[in-house]
Amino acid sequence: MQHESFSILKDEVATSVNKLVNSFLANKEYNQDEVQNWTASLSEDIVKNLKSMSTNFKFCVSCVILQKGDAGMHISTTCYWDSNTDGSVAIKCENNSMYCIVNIFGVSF
Amino acid sequence: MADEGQAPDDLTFTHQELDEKATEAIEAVLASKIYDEKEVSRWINEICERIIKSLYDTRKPFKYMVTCLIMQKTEAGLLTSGACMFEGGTDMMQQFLWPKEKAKDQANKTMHAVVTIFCARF
Repeated sequence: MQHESFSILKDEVATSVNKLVNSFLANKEYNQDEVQNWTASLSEDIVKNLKSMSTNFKFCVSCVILQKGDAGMHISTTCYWDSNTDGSVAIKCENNSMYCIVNIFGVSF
Repeated sequence: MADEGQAPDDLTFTHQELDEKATEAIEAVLASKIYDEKEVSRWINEICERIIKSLYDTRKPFKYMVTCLIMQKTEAGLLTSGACMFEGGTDMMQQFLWPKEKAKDQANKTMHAVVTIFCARF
């Protein structure tokens, strides 16, 4: 289905991605060997999910998994787009051993 | 537009072009700095803005999304990945890590930076 603006999709995207990420993290412990596969498969699952929501948007999903520890971290995003139609959502989730931050950008075409 | 020879360049960005823009912006801001909690939020904004400005100056018909991440170097592990749904021939998404492996000696010893650039043609 087509949407005129990302702001209409925003809540639906936030809810569904929150659910996806939380269920993904639910019973996992940070594991150096596995994490690479996790970030890749999580990003792909999110993109597939978004694809089913709207047909006239391009999406970019960036997923960061950070082990809980002493490190400080900051993330910033800047965008150059049409602010009437395009938008972004940032999702932050965590479990006992790691943080997961997902940035989703939607650009209409 | 009155410029010469625009046809192939106008259609997309190369990996190298984006790499140069990302590296230039990060080096300009982080070159000999130490991780400082009070300054980092200003640095990430500045890096993003420099990259967006240099992309905008190419005057190509693209929308841009730039994400910059700075993490203090400790024992913690960090993984990032990106996935996109876009148009294969013209749109680009790249992630860059700084400092690069081979530049380890001179580069900053206190932090990692990861920049993600997404370009979508309109």
